[in-house]
Amino acid sequence: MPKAPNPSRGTKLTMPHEPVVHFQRVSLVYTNLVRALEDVEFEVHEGEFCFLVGPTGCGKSSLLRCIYLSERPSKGRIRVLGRDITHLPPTKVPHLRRKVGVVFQDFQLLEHKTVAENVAFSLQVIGAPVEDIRRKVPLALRMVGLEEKINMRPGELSGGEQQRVAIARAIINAPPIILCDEPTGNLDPDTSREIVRLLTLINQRGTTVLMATHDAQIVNTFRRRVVYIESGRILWDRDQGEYKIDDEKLRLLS
Amino acid sequence: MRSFGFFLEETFEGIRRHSTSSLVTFLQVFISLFFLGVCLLFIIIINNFVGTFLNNLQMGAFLSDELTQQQAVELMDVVKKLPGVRDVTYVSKEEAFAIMKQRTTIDITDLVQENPLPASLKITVASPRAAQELAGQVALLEGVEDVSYGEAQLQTILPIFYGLQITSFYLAVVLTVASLLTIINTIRLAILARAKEISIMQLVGATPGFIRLPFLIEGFIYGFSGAALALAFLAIGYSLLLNYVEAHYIFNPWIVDYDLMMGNLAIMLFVLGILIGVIGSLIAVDKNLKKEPYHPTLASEGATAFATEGLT
Repeated sequence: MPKAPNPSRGTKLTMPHEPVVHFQRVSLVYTNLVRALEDVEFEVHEGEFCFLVGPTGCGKSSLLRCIYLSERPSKGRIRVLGRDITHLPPTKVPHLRRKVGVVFQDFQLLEHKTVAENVAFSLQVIGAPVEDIRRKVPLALRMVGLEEKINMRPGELSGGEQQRVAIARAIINAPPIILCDEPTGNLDPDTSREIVRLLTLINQRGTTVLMATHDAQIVNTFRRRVVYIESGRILWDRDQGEYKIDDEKLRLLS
Repeated sequence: MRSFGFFLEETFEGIRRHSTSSLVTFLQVFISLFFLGVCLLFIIIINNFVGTFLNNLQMGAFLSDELTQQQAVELMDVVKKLPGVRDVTYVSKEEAFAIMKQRTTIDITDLVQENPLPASLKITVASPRAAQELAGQVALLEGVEDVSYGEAQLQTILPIFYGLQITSFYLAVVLTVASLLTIINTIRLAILARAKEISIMQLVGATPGFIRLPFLIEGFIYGFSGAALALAFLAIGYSLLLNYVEAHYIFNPWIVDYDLMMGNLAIMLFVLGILIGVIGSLIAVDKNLKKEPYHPTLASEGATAFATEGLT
Protein backbone atom coordinates (compact mmCIF):
# COMPACT_ATOMS: atom_id res chain seq x y z
CA MET A 1 0.00 0.00 0.00
CA PRO A 2 1.21 3.54 -0.71
CA LYS A 3 3.51 5.00 1.87
CA ALA A 4 4.62 8.57 2.41
CA PRO A 5 7.19 9.47 -0.24
CA ASN A 6 10.78 9.38 0.81
CA PRO A 7 11.89 13.04 0.92
CA SER A 8 15.43 12.09 -0.11
CA ARG A 9 14.18 11.09 -3.55
CA GLY A 10 13.42 14.66 -4.54
CA THR A 11 10.25 16.44 -5.48
CA LYS A 12 10.04 15.16 -9.04
CA LEU A 13 9.38 11.63 -7.89
CA THR A 14 6.31 9.90 -6.56
CA MET A 15 3.58 12.04 -5.18
CA PRO A 16 1.45 10.34 -2.50
CA HIS A 17 -0.82 7.71 -4.02
CA GLU A 18 0.72 7.97 -7.42
CA PRO A 19 1.78 4.53 -8.70
CA VAL A 20 5.54 3.96 -9.06
CA VAL A 21 4.87 2.13 -12.31
CA HIS A 22 1.91 3.04 -14.44
CA PHE A 23 1.16 1.52 -17.86
CA GLN A 24 -1.53 3.35 -19.81
CA ARG A 25 -2.84 1.28 -22.74
CA VAL A 26 0.62 0.14 -23.69
CA SER A 27 1.19 -1.92 -26.80
CA LEU A 28 4.51 -3.24 -28.00
CA VAL A 29 5.01 -4.65 -31.46
CA TYR A 30 8.44 -5.88 -32.48
CA THR A 31 9.88 -5.10 -35.89
CA ASN A 32 9.20 -8.69 -36.92
CA LEU A 33 5.51 -7.95 -36.13
CA VAL A 34 5.41 -10.15 -33.03
CA ARG A 35 2.91 -8.51 -30.68
CA ALA A 36 4.59 -8.63 -27.29
CA LEU A 37 2.13 -6.45 -25.40
CA GLU A 38 -1.38 -5.40 -26.30
CA ASP A 39 -3.27 -2.62 -24.61
CA VAL A 40 -1.72 -3.22 -21.20
CA GLU A 41 -3.23 -1.17 -18.38
CA PHE A 42 -1.32 -1.74 -15.18
CA GLU A 43 -0.34 0.02 -11.95
CA VAL A 44 2.12 -0.85 -9.22
CA HIS A 45 2.20 1.19 -6.02
CA GLU A 46 5.11 1.98 -3.82
CA GLY A 47 6.04 -0.89 -1.53
CA GLU A 48 4.13 -3.53 -3.47
CA PHE A 49 5.40 -7.00 -4.27
CA CYS A 50 3.89 -8.20 -7.51
CA PHE A 51 4.26 -11.45 -9.46
CA LEU A 52 3.87 -11.36 -13.23
CA VAL A 53 2.90 -14.84 -14.38
CA GLY A 54 2.04 -16.53 -17.63
CA PRO A 55 3.47 -19.00 -20.12
CA THR A 56 6.87 -18.49 -21.70
CA GLY A 57 6.78 -15.78 -24.32
CA CYS A 58 3.57 -14.24 -23.00
CA GLY A 59 5.08 -10.78 -22.64
CA LYS A 60 6.25 -10.72 -19.00
CA SER A 61 9.85 -9.91 -19.92
CA SER A 62 8.76 -7.38 -22.51
CA LEU A 63 6.71 -5.61 -19.87
CA LEU A 64 9.70 -5.44 -17.52
CA ARG A 65 11.97 -4.25 -20.34
CA CYS A 66 9.60 -1.36 -21.00
CA ILE A 67 10.13 -0.17 -17.42
CA TYR A 68 13.91 0.15 -17.74
CA LEU A 69 13.56 1.28 -21.35
CA SER A 70 15.35 -1.56 -23.01
CA GLU A 71 12.20 -1.43 -25.08
CA ARG A 72 10.03 1.50 -26.10
CA PRO A 73 6.28 0.96 -26.35
CA SER A 74 4.73 1.25 -29.80
CA LYS A 75 1.57 2.78 -28.33
CA GLY A 76 0.41 4.12 -24.97
CA ARG A 77 2.26 5.81 -22.11
CA ILE A 78 4.43 4.57 -19.29
CA ARG A 79 5.03 6.50 -16.10
CA VAL A 80 7.76 5.38 -13.73
CA LEU A 81 8.38 7.07 -10.38
CA GLY A 82 6.04 9.88 -11.28
CA ARG A 83 7.65 10.65 -14.58
CA ASP A 84 6.47 9.95 -18.10
CA ILE A 85 9.27 7.88 -19.57
CA THR A 86 7.57 7.01 -22.87
CA HIS A 87 9.73 9.45 -24.77
CA LEU A 88 12.53 9.87 -22.25
CA PRO A 89 15.57 11.10 -24.20
CA PRO A 90 18.35 8.49 -24.50
CA THR A 91 20.72 10.69 -22.47
CA LYS A 92 18.38 10.40 -19.47
CA VAL A 93 17.96 6.62 -19.67
CA PRO A 94 21.06 5.87 -17.51
CA HIS A 95 19.61 8.01 -14.72
CA LEU A 96 16.32 6.09 -14.87
CA ARG A 97 18.23 2.80 -14.67
CA ARG A 98 20.01 3.89 -11.50
CA LYS A 99 16.58 3.98 -9.84
CA VAL A 100 15.47 0.60 -11.19
CA GLY A 101 17.43 -2.48 -10.13
CA VAL A 102 17.27 -5.51 -12.42
CA VAL A 103 17.88 -9.22 -11.75
CA PHE A 104 17.91 -11.91 -14.42
CA GLN A 105 17.58 -15.65 -14.71
CA ASP A 106 21.22 -16.05 -15.78
CA PHE A 107 22.64 -13.72 -13.09
CA GLN A 108 24.69 -11.59 -15.54
CA LEU A 109 27.81 -11.58 -13.38
CA LEU A 110 31.35 -10.94 -14.58
CA GLU A 111 33.24 -14.20 -14.15
CA HIS A 112 36.65 -12.61 -13.73
CA LYS A 113 35.60 -10.39 -10.85
CA THR A 114 35.11 -11.39 -7.25
CA VAL A 115 31.76 -11.11 -5.51
CA ALA A 116 32.72 -7.75 -3.99
CA GLU A 117 34.10 -6.47 -7.28
CA ASN A 118 30.95 -7.46 -9.14
CA VAL A 119 28.84 -5.50 -6.69
CA ALA A 120 31.25 -2.56 -6.58
CA PHE A 121 31.36 -2.47 -10.40
CA SER A 122 27.85 -1.05 -10.63
CA LEU A 123 28.86 1.87 -8.41
CA GLN A 124 32.23 2.41 -10.06
CA VAL A 125 30.83 2.71 -13.55
CA ILE A 126 28.43 5.45 -12.51
CA GLY A 127 31.31 7.38 -10.98
CA ALA A 128 30.43 6.91 -7.30
CA PRO A 129 33.06 8.11 -4.82
CA VAL A 130 35.41 5.48 -3.40
CA GLU A 131 34.21 6.08 0.19
CA ASP A 132 30.65 5.37 -0.91
CA ILE A 133 31.71 2.12 -2.56
CA ARG A 134 33.67 0.99 0.51
CA ARG A 135 30.71 1.66 2.74
CA LYS A 136 27.89 0.31 0.58
CA VAL A 137 29.36 -2.93 -0.82
CA PRO A 138 29.72 -4.76 2.53
CA LEU A 139 26.26 -3.56 3.56
CA ALA A 140 24.64 -4.92 0.41
CA LEU A 141 26.51 -8.22 0.71
CA ARG A 142 25.46 -8.58 4.34
CA MET A 143 21.88 -7.93 3.30
CA VAL A 144 21.97 -10.90 0.92
CA GLY A 145 23.96 -13.04 3.36
CA LEU A 146 27.21 -13.33 1.43
CA GLU A 147 29.55 -11.37 3.71
CA GLU A 148 31.81 -14.40 4.04
CA LYS A 149 32.23 -15.01 0.33
CA ILE A 150 33.20 -11.55 -0.85
CA ASN A 151 36.49 -12.70 -2.33
CA MET A 152 35.17 -15.67 -4.25
CA ARG A 153 34.44 -15.63 -7.95
CA PRO A 154 31.02 -16.46 -9.44
CA GLY A 155 32.35 -19.80 -10.70
CA GLU A 156 33.01 -20.91 -7.11
CA LEU A 157 29.47 -20.15 -5.96
CA SER A 158 26.22 -22.08 -6.19
CA GLY A 159 23.45 -20.80 -8.42
CA GLY A 160 21.54 -19.41 -5.46
CA GLU A 161 24.61 -17.58 -4.20
CA GLN A 162 25.28 -16.13 -7.64
CA GLN A 163 21.73 -14.83 -7.75
CA ARG A 164 22.30 -13.24 -4.32
CA VAL A 165 25.32 -11.42 -5.75
CA ALA A 166 23.13 -10.17 -8.59
CA ILE A 167 20.51 -9.01 -6.08
CA ALA A 168 23.17 -7.24 -4.01
CA ARG A 169 24.28 -5.45 -7.17
CA ALA A 170 20.68 -4.50 -7.97
CA ILE A 171 19.98 -3.01 -4.52
CA ILE A 172 23.28 -1.27 -3.90
CA ASN A 173 22.04 2.05 -5.24
CA ALA A 174 18.94 1.71 -3.05
CA PRO A 175 16.61 1.84 -6.04
CA PRO A 176 12.89 2.39 -5.31
CA ILE A 177 12.02 -0.45 -7.70
CA ILE A 178 13.53 -3.87 -8.39
CA LEU A 179 12.59 -5.84 -11.49
CA CYS A 180 13.28 -9.58 -11.49
CA ASP A 181 12.97 -11.51 -14.73
CA GLU A 182 12.60 -15.21 -13.86
CA PRO A 183 15.15 -14.91 -11.05
CA THR A 184 14.52 -18.51 -9.97
CA GLY A 185 14.47 -19.98 -13.47
CA ASN A 186 17.84 -21.71 -13.03
CA LEU A 187 17.42 -22.71 -9.39
CA ASP A 188 16.01 -25.72 -7.54
CA PRO A 189 12.76 -25.27 -5.55
CA ASP A 190 14.41 -24.81 -2.13
CA THR A 191 16.91 -22.26 -3.40
CA SER A 192 14.14 -20.54 -5.33
CA ARG A 193 12.13 -20.07 -2.14
CA GLU A 194 15.17 -18.62 -0.37
CA ILE A 195 15.76 -16.14 -3.17
CA VAL A 196 12.13 -15.01 -3.17
CA ARG A 197 12.23 -14.78 0.64
CA LEU A 198 15.21 -12.46 0.28
CA LEU A 199 13.25 -10.38 -2.23
CA THR A 200 10.34 -10.12 0.21
CA LEU A 201 12.78 -8.94 2.90
CA ILE A 202 14.02 -6.23 0.55
CA ASN A 203 10.40 -5.41 -0.21
CA GLN A 204 9.66 -5.00 3.50
CA ARG A 205 12.23 -2.24 3.62
CA GLY A 206 10.09 -0.25 1.20
CA THR A 207 11.40 -1.31 -2.19
CA THR A 208 8.77 -2.10 -4.80
CA VAL A 209 9.42 -5.55 -6.31
CA LEU A 210 8.11 -6.79 -9.66
CA MET A 211 8.95 -10.39 -10.40
CA ALA A 212 8.19 -12.28 -13.60
CA THR A 213 7.96 -16.03 -13.11
CA HIS A 214 6.17 -19.10 -14.34
CA ASP A 215 6.85 -21.01 -11.15
CA ALA A 216 3.36 -21.70 -9.73
CA GLN A 217 4.79 -23.19 -6.52
CA ILE A 218 6.63 -19.96 -5.67
CA VAL A 219 3.61 -17.81 -6.44
CA ASN A 220 1.32 -19.95 -4.32
CA THR A 221 3.75 -20.12 -1.40
CA PHE A 222 4.18 -16.38 -1.06
CA ARG A 223 0.63 -15.23 -1.80
CA ARG A 224 1.20 -11.76 -3.14
CA ARG A 225 -0.46 -9.79 -5.89
CA VAL A 226 -0.49 -11.83 -9.09
CA VAL A 227 -0.91 -10.44 -12.60
CA TYR A 228 -1.60 -13.06 -15.22
CA ILE A 229 -0.45 -12.27 -18.75
CA GLU A 230 -1.11 -14.27 -21.86
CA SER A 231 -0.34 -13.36 -25.47
CA GLY A 232 0.63 -9.86 -24.38
CA ARG A 233 -2.63 -9.13 -22.53
CA ILE A 234 -3.33 -8.93 -18.83
CA LEU A 235 -6.08 -11.48 -18.28
CA TRP A 236 -6.47 -11.11 -14.54
CA ASP A 237 -4.93 -9.24 -11.60
CA ARG A 238 -5.59 -10.41 -8.00
CA ASP A 239 -4.26 -9.55 -4.56
CA GLN A 240 -2.90 -12.57 -2.71
CA GLY A 241 -3.57 -14.50 -5.87
CA GLU A 242 -2.88 -18.07 -6.75
CA TYR A 243 -1.53 -19.34 -10.00
CA LYS A 244 -2.53 -22.76 -11.19
CA ILE A 245 -1.27 -24.18 -14.39
CA ASP A 246 -4.83 -25.44 -14.80
CA ASP A 247 -6.00 -21.83 -15.05
CA GLU A 248 -4.31 -21.57 -18.41
CA LYS A 249 -5.85 -24.75 -19.72
CA LEU A 250 -9.34 -23.87 -18.46
CA ARG A 251 -9.10 -20.49 -20.07
CA LEU A 252 -8.00 -21.98 -23.33
CA LEU A 253 -10.91 -24.40 -23.35
CA SER A 254 -13.52 -21.78 -22.71
CA MET B 1 38.65 12.91 -12.12
CA ARG B 2 38.25 10.54 -9.21
CA SER B 3 37.27 7.46 -11.16
CA PHE B 4 39.93 7.76 -13.85
CA GLY B 5 42.19 5.45 -11.85
CA PHE B 6 39.43 2.87 -11.81
CA PHE B 7 39.06 3.03 -15.58
CA LEU B 8 42.80 2.77 -16.07
CA GLU B 9 42.83 -0.34 -13.87
CA GLU B 10 39.81 -1.71 -15.74
CA THR B 11 41.59 -1.13 -19.06
CA PHE B 12 44.79 -2.91 -18.07
CA GLU B 13 42.80 -5.68 -16.43
CA GLY B 14 40.86 -6.08 -19.69
CA ILE B 15 44.03 -6.17 -21.78
CA ARG B 16 45.61 -8.71 -19.42
CA ARG B 17 42.55 -10.94 -19.32
CA HIS B 18 42.13 -10.93 -23.10
CA SER B 19 45.89 -11.13 -23.54
CA THR B 20 45.80 -13.10 -26.80
CA SER B 21 43.32 -10.87 -28.56
CA SER B 22 45.07 -7.79 -27.13
CA LEU B 23 48.41 -9.02 -28.45
CA VAL B 24 46.92 -9.70 -31.87
CA THR B 25 45.38 -6.23 -31.93
CA PHE B 26 48.65 -4.63 -30.88
CA LEU B 27 50.60 -6.55 -33.56
CA GLN B 28 47.98 -5.69 -36.17
CA VAL B 29 48.24 -2.00 -35.32
CA PHE B 30 52.03 -2.23 -35.29
CA ILE B 31 52.23 -4.00 -38.66
CA SER B 32 49.75 -1.62 -40.29
CA LEU B 33 51.61 1.40 -38.98
CA PHE B 34 54.98 -0.09 -39.89
CA PHE B 35 54.02 -0.56 -43.54
CA LEU B 36 52.37 2.82 -43.56
CA GLY B 37 55.62 4.18 -42.14
CA VAL B 38 57.73 2.47 -44.84
CA CYS B 39 55.55 4.04 -47.52
CA LEU B 40 55.64 7.42 -45.80
CA LEU B 41 59.41 7.15 -45.67
CA PHE B 42 59.65 6.70 -49.43
CA ILE B 43 57.05 9.38 -49.99
CA ILE B 44 59.13 11.79 -47.90
CA ILE B 45 62.24 10.87 -49.89
CA ILE B 46 60.49 11.35 -53.23
CA ASN B 47 58.99 14.63 -52.12
CA ASN B 48 62.27 15.86 -50.78
CA PHE B 49 64.07 14.92 -53.97
CA VAL B 50 61.47 16.42 -56.28
CA GLY B 51 61.17 19.47 -54.08
CA THR B 52 64.91 20.02 -53.95
CA PHE B 53 65.16 19.66 -57.69
CA LEU B 54 62.28 21.98 -58.46
CA ASN B 55 63.38 24.61 -55.98
CA ASN B 56 66.91 24.71 -57.27
CA LEU B 57 66.36 24.75 -60.98
CA GLN B 58 69.01 27.01 -62.44
CA MET B 59 69.27 28.87 -65.66
CA GLY B 60 72.45 30.16 -67.21
CA ALA B 61 72.42 33.46 -69.09
CA PHE B 62 75.69 33.68 -71.01
CA LEU B 63 77.01 37.16 -71.40
CA SER B 64 78.76 38.77 -74.32
CA ASP B 65 82.53 39.17 -73.87
CA GLU B 66 82.20 42.87 -74.63
CA LEU B 67 80.30 43.49 -71.42
CA THR B 68 82.33 45.15 -68.67
CA GLN B 69 82.05 43.94 -65.11
CA GLN B 70 80.15 47.12 -64.24
CA GLN B 71 77.60 46.49 -67.02
CA ALA B 72 77.26 42.89 -65.93
CA VAL B 73 76.39 43.96 -62.38
CA GLU B 74 73.77 46.39 -63.73
CA LEU B 75 72.31 43.62 -65.88
CA MET B 76 72.16 41.41 -62.81
CA ASP B 77 70.01 44.01 -61.05
CA VAL B 78 67.61 44.06 -64.00
CA VAL B 79 67.31 40.28 -64.03
CA LYS B 80 66.76 40.20 -60.27
CA LYS B 81 63.61 42.26 -60.70
CA LEU B 82 62.06 39.93 -63.28
CA PRO B 83 59.11 37.85 -62.00
CA GLY B 84 59.91 34.23 -61.18
CA VAL B 85 63.52 34.90 -60.24
CA ARG B 86 64.61 33.79 -56.81
CA ASP B 87 68.29 34.53 -56.91
CA VAL B 88 70.97 35.67 -59.32
CA THR B 89 74.74 35.26 -59.00
CA TYR B 90 77.43 36.49 -61.34
CA VAL B 91 79.99 34.00 -62.59
CA SER B 92 82.99 35.65 -64.20
CA LYS B 93 85.01 34.12 -67.04
CA GLU B 94 87.75 33.17 -64.57
CA GLU B 95 85.37 31.55 -62.13
CA ALA B 96 83.73 29.57 -64.92
CA PHE B 97 87.13 28.34 -66.04
CA ALA B 98 88.06 27.36 -62.48
CA ILE B 99 84.87 25.34 -62.11
CA MET B 100 85.49 23.65 -65.43
CA LYS B 101 89.04 22.77 -64.37
CA GLN B 102 87.76 21.29 -61.15
CA ARG B 103 85.26 19.07 -62.91
CA THR B 104 87.63 17.60 -65.45
CA THR B 105 90.28 15.16 -64.43
CA ILE B 106 92.80 16.02 -67.12
CA ASP B 107 94.68 19.31 -67.06
CA ILE B 108 93.00 21.47 -69.65
CA THR B 109 95.34 24.44 -69.26
CA ASP B 110 97.68 22.73 -71.69
CA LEU B 111 94.95 22.33 -74.29
CA VAL B 112 93.58 25.86 -74.35
CA GLN B 113 95.68 28.98 -74.57
CA GLU B 114 92.85 31.35 -73.89
CA ASN B 115 89.82 31.04 -71.63
CA PRO B 116 86.98 30.09 -74.01
CA LEU B 117 84.21 30.31 -71.46
CA PRO B 118 81.87 33.31 -71.31
CA ALA B 119 80.90 35.10 -68.13
CA SER B 120 77.35 34.22 -67.05
CA LEU B 121 74.51 34.98 -64.69
CA LYS B 122 73.35 31.98 -62.68
CA ILE B 123 69.59 32.45 -62.17
CA THR B 124 67.73 30.33 -59.63
CA VAL B 125 64.17 29.97 -60.84
CA ALA B 126 61.32 30.20 -58.34
CA SER B 127 59.01 27.89 -60.26
CA PRO B 128 59.97 25.56 -63.09
CA ARG B 129 56.63 26.27 -64.72
CA ALA B 130 57.69 29.87 -65.36
CA ALA B 131 61.12 28.87 -66.67
CA GLN B 132 60.29 29.05 -70.35
CA GLU B 133 58.78 32.52 -70.21
CA LEU B 134 61.60 33.78 -68.05
CA ALA B 135 64.20 32.38 -70.45
CA GLY B 136 62.56 34.31 -73.29
CA GLN B 137 62.62 37.54 -71.34
CA VAL B 138 66.26 37.17 -70.28
CA ALA B 139 67.35 36.31 -73.83
CA LEU B 140 65.98 39.64 -75.06
CA LEU B 141 68.13 41.66 -72.66
CA GLU B 142 71.08 43.47 -74.16
CA GLY B 143 74.41 41.79 -73.50
CA VAL B 144 72.88 38.31 -73.12
CA GLU B 145 74.02 36.00 -75.89
CA ASP B 146 72.30 32.80 -74.98
CA VAL B 147 70.09 31.28 -72.27
CA SER B 148 70.20 27.63 -71.30
CA TYR B 149 68.25 25.68 -68.71
CA GLY B 150 68.17 22.16 -70.12
CA GLU B 151 64.69 22.72 -71.52
CA ALA B 152 64.57 19.42 -73.38
CA GLN B 153 65.37 17.38 -70.28
CA LEU B 154 63.01 19.47 -68.19
CA GLN B 155 60.10 18.77 -70.55
CA THR B 156 60.58 15.05 -70.01
CA ILE B 157 61.34 15.03 -66.33
CA LEU B 158 58.83 17.57 -65.06
CA PRO B 159 55.63 15.55 -65.72
CA ILE B 160 57.28 12.53 -64.14
CA PHE B 161 58.13 14.48 -61.01
CA TYR B 162 54.69 16.02 -60.69
CA GLY B 163 53.17 12.58 -61.27
CA LEU B 164 55.37 11.09 -58.57
CA GLN B 165 54.32 13.77 -56.11
CA ILE B 166 50.61 13.32 -56.76
CA THR B 167 50.82 9.52 -56.79
CA SER B 168 52.69 9.43 -53.51
CA PHE B 169 50.12 11.72 -51.93
CA TYR B 170 47.22 9.51 -52.97
CA LEU B 171 49.15 6.42 -51.96
CA ALA B 172 49.52 7.86 -48.46
CA VAL B 173 45.80 8.60 -48.28
CA VAL B 174 44.83 5.10 -49.46
CA LEU B 175 47.26 3.44 -47.06
CA THR B 176 46.02 5.49 -44.13
CA VAL B 177 42.42 4.54 -44.87
CA ALA B 178 43.39 0.88 -45.32
CA SER B 179 45.21 0.70 -42.01
CA LEU B 180 42.35 2.58 -40.35
CA LEU B 181 39.90 -0.08 -41.54
CA THR B 182 42.14 -2.96 -40.47
CA ILE B 183 42.66 -1.50 -37.01
CA ILE B 184 38.98 -0.64 -36.52
CA ASN B 185 38.05 -4.19 -37.40
CA THR B 186 40.59 -5.69 -35.02
CA ILE B 187 39.52 -3.46 -32.15
CA ARG B 188 35.88 -4.21 -32.95
CA LEU B 189 36.55 -7.92 -32.51
CA ALA B 190 38.42 -7.29 -29.27
CA ILE B 191 35.48 -5.31 -27.90
CA LEU B 192 32.96 -7.88 -29.06
CA ALA B 193 34.43 -10.19 -26.43
CA ARG B 194 33.34 -7.68 -23.80
CA ALA B 195 29.75 -7.23 -24.88
CA LYS B 196 28.58 -8.57 -21.51
CA GLU B 197 30.49 -5.91 -19.59
CA ILE B 198 29.02 -3.21 -21.79
CA SER B 199 25.54 -4.67 -21.31
CA ILE B 200 25.92 -4.73 -17.51
CA MET B 201 27.24 -1.19 -17.48
CA GLN B 202 24.19 -0.08 -19.44
CA LEU B 203 21.86 -1.92 -17.05
CA VAL B 204 23.23 -0.35 -13.90
CA GLY B 205 22.92 3.10 -15.46
CA ALA B 206 26.42 3.98 -16.61
CA THR B 207 26.36 6.86 -19.09
CA PRO B 208 27.73 6.18 -22.59
CA GLY B 209 30.68 8.44 -21.83
CA PHE B 210 31.68 6.27 -18.90
CA ILE B 211 31.21 3.10 -20.90
CA ARG B 212 33.38 4.43 -23.72
CA LEU B 213 36.21 5.58 -21.50
CA PRO B 214 38.06 2.29 -20.81
CA PHE B 215 37.83 1.37 -24.49
CA LEU B 216 39.11 4.78 -25.54
CA ILE B 217 42.08 4.31 -23.23
CA GLU B 218 42.62 0.88 -24.74
CA GLY B 219 42.47 2.25 -28.29
CA PHE B 220 44.92 4.97 -27.30
CA ILE B 221 47.30 2.36 -25.86
CA TYR B 222 47.16 0.27 -29.05
CA GLY B 223 47.73 3.32 -31.25
CA PHE B 224 50.54 4.72 -29.13
CA SER B 225 52.43 1.48 -28.55
CA GLY B 226 51.95 0.33 -32.16
CA ALA B 227 53.30 3.64 -33.43
CA ALA B 228 56.24 3.54 -30.99
CA LEU B 229 57.31 0.04 -32.05
CA ALA B 230 56.81 0.81 -35.75
CA LEU B 231 58.91 3.94 -35.33
CA ALA B 232 61.68 1.98 -33.59
CA PHE B 233 61.84 -0.48 -36.49
CA LEU B 234 61.78 2.33 -39.03
CA ALA B 235 64.57 4.17 -37.20
CA ILE B 236 66.78 1.09 -37.32
CA GLY B 237 65.89 0.46 -40.97
CA TYR B 238 66.54 4.02 -42.06
CA SER B 239 69.90 4.29 -40.30
CA LEU B 240 70.95 1.03 -41.98
CA LEU B 241 69.88 2.46 -45.33
CA LEU B 242 71.80 5.69 -44.69
CA ASN B 243 74.94 3.76 -43.73
CA TYR B 244 74.70 1.69 -46.86
CA VAL B 245 74.20 4.70 -49.11
CA GLU B 246 77.05 6.63 -47.49
CA ALA B 247 79.39 3.68 -47.90
CA HIS B 248 78.56 3.05 -51.55
CA TYR B 249 77.63 6.37 -53.13
CA ILE B 250 79.42 9.67 -52.81
CA PHE B 251 76.68 11.68 -54.41
CA ASN B 252 73.17 11.15 -53.04
CA PRO B 253 70.85 14.07 -53.70
CA TRP B 254 67.74 12.19 -52.62
CA ILE B 255 68.77 11.35 -49.10
CA VAL B 256 66.91 12.99 -46.22
CA ASP B 257 68.67 13.87 -43.01
CA TYR B 258 68.08 11.19 -40.33
CA ASP B 259 66.74 13.51 -37.62
CA LEU B 260 64.46 15.32 -40.03
CA MET B 261 63.11 12.03 -41.39
CA MET B 262 62.50 10.54 -37.96
CA GLY B 263 60.90 13.75 -36.72
CA ASN B 264 58.48 13.75 -39.64
CA LEU B 265 57.71 10.05 -39.29
CA ALA B 266 57.25 10.30 -35.52
CA ILE B 267 54.68 13.07 -35.84
CA MET B 268 52.79 11.30 -38.62
CA LEU B 269 52.81 7.83 -37.03
CA PHE B 270 51.89 8.95 -33.52
CA VAL B 271 49.12 11.25 -34.72
CA LEU B 272 47.74 8.64 -37.13
CA GLY B 273 48.22 5.73 -34.71
CA ILE B 274 46.50 7.40 -31.77
CA LEU B 275 43.76 8.84 -33.97
CA ILE B 276 43.13 5.47 -35.60
CA GLY B 277 43.19 3.63 -32.26
CA VAL B 278 40.81 6.03 -30.55
CA ILE B 279 38.44 6.37 -33.51
CA GLY B 280 38.51 2.61 -34.08
CA SER B 281 37.51 1.80 -30.52
CA LEU B 282 34.89 4.57 -30.51
CA ILE B 283 33.24 3.12 -33.60
CA ALA B 284 33.39 -0.37 -32.14
CA VAL B 285 31.94 0.57 -28.72
CA ASP B 286 29.21 2.67 -30.22
CA LYS B 287 28.13 -0.27 -32.32
CA ASN B 288 27.66 -2.17 -29.06
CA LEU B 289 26.05 0.78 -27.30
CA LYS B 290 23.33 0.89 -29.93
CA LYS B 291 22.15 -2.53 -28.81
CA GLU B 292 19.79 -2.56 -25.86
CA PRO B 293 21.22 -4.33 -22.81
CA TYR B 294 20.12 -7.84 -22.05
CA HIS B 295 17.94 -8.01 -25.06
CA PRO B 296 17.27 -11.50 -26.42
CA THR B 297 17.38 -11.59 -30.18
CA LEU B 298 14.05 -10.97 -31.80
CA ALA B 299 14.33 -14.27 -33.65
CA SER B 300 14.38 -16.28 -30.43
CA GLU B 301 11.55 -14.18 -29.00
CA GLY B 302 9.48 -15.01 -32.06
CA ALA B 303 10.48 -18.63 -31.82
CA THR B 304 9.37 -18.97 -28.18
CA ALA B 305 6.10 -17.23 -28.95
CA PHE B 306 5.55 -19.64 -31.77
CA ALA B 307 6.52 -22.64 -29.67
CA THR B 308 4.04 -21.66 -26.99
CA GLU B 309 1.31 -21.29 -29.53
CA GLY B 310 2.16 -24.69 -30.88
CA LEU B 311 1.88 -26.22 -27.41
CA THR B 312 -1.49 -24.72 -26.65
